Amino acid sequence: MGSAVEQNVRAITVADRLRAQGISRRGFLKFCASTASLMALSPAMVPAIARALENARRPSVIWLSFQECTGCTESLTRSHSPSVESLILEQVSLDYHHTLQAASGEAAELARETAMQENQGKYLLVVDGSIPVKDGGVYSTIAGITNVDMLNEVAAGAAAIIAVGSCAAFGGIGHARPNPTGAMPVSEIVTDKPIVNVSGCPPIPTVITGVLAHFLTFNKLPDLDDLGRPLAFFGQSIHDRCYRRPFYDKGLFAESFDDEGARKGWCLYRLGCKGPATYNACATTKWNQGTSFPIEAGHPCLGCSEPDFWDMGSFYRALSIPTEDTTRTLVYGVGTGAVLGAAAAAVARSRKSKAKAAHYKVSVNDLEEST
Amino acid sequence: MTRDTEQVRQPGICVGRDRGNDRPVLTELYHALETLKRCGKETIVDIKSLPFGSIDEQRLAEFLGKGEVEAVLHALGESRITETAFPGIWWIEHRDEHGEITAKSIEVANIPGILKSQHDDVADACRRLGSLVQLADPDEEPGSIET
Amino acid sequence: MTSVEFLAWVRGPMFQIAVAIFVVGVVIRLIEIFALGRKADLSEPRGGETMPGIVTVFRRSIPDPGTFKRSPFTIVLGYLFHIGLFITILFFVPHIELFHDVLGVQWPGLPTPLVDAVAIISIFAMLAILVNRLRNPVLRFLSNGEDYVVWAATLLPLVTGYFAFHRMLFPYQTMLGLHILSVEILLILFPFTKLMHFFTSFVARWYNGAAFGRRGVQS
Repeated sequence: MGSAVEQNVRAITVADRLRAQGISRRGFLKFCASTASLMALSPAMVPAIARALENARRPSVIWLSFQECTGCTESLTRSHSPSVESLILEQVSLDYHHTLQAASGEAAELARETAMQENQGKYLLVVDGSIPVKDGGVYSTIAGITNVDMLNEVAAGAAAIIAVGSCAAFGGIGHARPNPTGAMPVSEIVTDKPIVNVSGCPPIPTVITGVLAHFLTFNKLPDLDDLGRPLAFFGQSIHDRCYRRPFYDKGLFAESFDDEGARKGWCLYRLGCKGPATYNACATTKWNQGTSFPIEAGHPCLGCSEPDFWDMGSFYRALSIPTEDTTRTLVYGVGTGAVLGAAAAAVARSRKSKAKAAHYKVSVNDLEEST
Repeated sequence: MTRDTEQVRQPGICVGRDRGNDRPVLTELYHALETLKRCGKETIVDIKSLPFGSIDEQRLAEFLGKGEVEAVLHALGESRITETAFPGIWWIEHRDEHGEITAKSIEVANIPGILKSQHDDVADACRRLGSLVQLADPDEEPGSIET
Repeated sequence: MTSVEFLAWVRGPMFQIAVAIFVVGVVIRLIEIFALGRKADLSEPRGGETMPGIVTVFRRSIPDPGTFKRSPFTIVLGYLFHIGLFITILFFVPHIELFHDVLGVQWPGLPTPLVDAVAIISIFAMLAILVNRLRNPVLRFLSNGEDYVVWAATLLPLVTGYFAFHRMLFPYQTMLGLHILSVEILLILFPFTKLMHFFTSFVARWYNGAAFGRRGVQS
C-alpha cells in the first residue's frame, strides 16, 4: 500500500506541486521563463514549456558515482544558492546518490533497488565517473559490486542516462594514457539506451540542471550533437562566443602570462588556448553565478569538454603545434636520410664507374669491319 | 571596430567585452516593433543567450532608456518589467529569491504577457472573494460578481 | 572515427609519419644529386664561379622582357601564388607557433587580415593558373598527370586553411584536421615530385651561373 501512495504522490504534476507550494500562475510562468533560459531555449518556447510542465510527472533519479573525484557533484551542489535551479532539482526525486544521501551501507543499496523496482523503465540514471573494465572491473566497486556490473544492472531499467562530466561521457582522466584500469565511458558499455553526455571537467552546473529540466519538462532528452552532447549548450565553440575573439581576428596575441598583450586582454591562442576546438557554454553561461570563465580570468581554455583532452598535448602549447616531438623526428629523419642517401649515392657511383669501365672506344674502322 | 580600439586605450575599463552586438539587436527590435504596429504580433528576444559583452548590454539599456511604466512582480523573487523610452518595447528581468538574475529578455508587445492577471489566478481569486462575500452577505449570489 | 579522433590522429602520429617521409626523402634525393659529382673541368677558367653563380640565382628570378611578353600570365600568376604561399606559410601566427616548436626559432607574424587577403589572392591565382594551363595548347601538351597532382596538393592546404580559419563548411575540428592532413599529403608527395624544385631550383641556377662564369660568359 505504501508504494501505491508513493505512486500517487509521483502522479501529481510539476505544475500542481508548484501550486501546492503557494506559487501563483504568474510565478509558474516566471519559472517557465527561467527554465527556458536555463535550457538555452528561445523565450518563444515558454508557452510550450508551461503546457508540458502542466503534465510533467516527478521523475525518479538514480545517481551512480564511479571512478570520479566528486567534482561534478560539487559543481552541481555548491555553485548556486537555492534558486530556480534548485526548484527544478526539487521536482525530481533523487532516490540514490551515495555521496549526498543520509543512508549508508545496505540501507543505501536497498534505496537503489527499491527505486529501480518501483520505477522500472521510467527512472532517469545519472552517472559520473568512468567505469574500469580491466581485470573484471575490480579496480572500483561499491557494496562489493563492480562499477561495470552496477551500471549494466541499473541501466537496464532506465528510461534514459545522463553521463555527467568528461569521465562518464568520454572516459576523462581515468581513460587518459596509459589507462591502467581500462576506464571506459558509459556509452561504450551501455549501447541500447538514450544517453546524453554533459561533458566538462567539471560540467557547468546550469547545463546539468538544464538537461534535467528538459527531461522533466518534455520527458525526453534534448537534441544532441555527434558526441551526444546537448546542442543547446554545446552547439557553439568557446572561440565563437569568446569576447576576446576580435583580437584573434586582428592577430593580436598575448605571448606570455604577463606581457603587454596579456594585460590588454588579447587572444590567448599562443598560450595554448583550445577554445577554437572546444564546444561548451562557458563563454556565455560562465561560472560562479555568471561571474567569469577561465579565459576572462586570463587563462587559456583547456578544452575539458572534448574527448581525451588530457592526451591532446600540453595545455600551454598552441593548437597548431603537433602533439608529438617533431624535432626528434626531424633529426632522426635527417640521419636516416643521410645514411640512405649515402648508400644510394654509393650505388649510383659504382654503376657510374662500372659503366665507365665497360666503356671502350670504337673507331670508324671497327664499325666498318663489323659490317 | 573603432570602438574596440578606443576601449583598449582607456585604462581601467574591462577590455574587449565590447562585441558590438547591440546594433543588430536594435535592428531586430525595430522590425519587431513594426510588426507589432502592423499586425499586433509579439516578439521576445532572450538577452542572456546573446554573446553580449558587459558594455554591449549597458549601451543597449542606455539607448532604450526608461519609459512611463515600471512594474515589480513579487513571485519566486522579484521581477522588474520596465517599458523603455520606446513604447511597445519592454525590458524584463526575472530574479530569484536571492536577487540572482534567472532570465532576461526584451518583449515587444502592447503589454507583456506576465503582467496580465492569469486565468488560474483569477479563478482562484474569484473562489476566495466569492467565499468572503458569501460570508459577508449570504443572500448574494457569488457568481454575479464575476465579470 | 569521430572528428576529435581524426584531429588527434593528424596532429599526432600522422604528422610524424609525414615529416619523416618528407625529411628522409628530401635528404636522400639531395645527397644523391650532390654525391653524383661532375667531371673535373680541366679548362683554364676565364672568370670566377661564386659571384656569377650567386648573381644568376637572383637574376633568373626576374623574367626577361621577351619571356614576359610571351607568357605574362604564367609569370604574374606564378609570382602571386609563390609569394602568397611564402607569406601564408611563414607569417601566419599559428604557423609560426609550429615552426617555433619544431625548429626552436620564431619571428614576428603579420596581422591576420593581411594573411587572410594574401591567402585569397593565392587561391585565385592558382585557379587562374589551372585555367591558363588548360586553355593554352602548348602548356596543356607539356603537362602530365603529376603536374595536376602537384597543383592540387599545393592548393588544398590553402583552401582548407582558409575554410578552417573562417570556421566554414565542417565543424572546426574536422576542418582543421583536413587542413593538417592536406599539408601532410603535400609533405609526403614533396620528395617524389616536381615540388623538389623548392630545393633544387636555386642549386641548378647557381650551377648554371657558375659554369657560365668560369667560361667568362654572362648568363
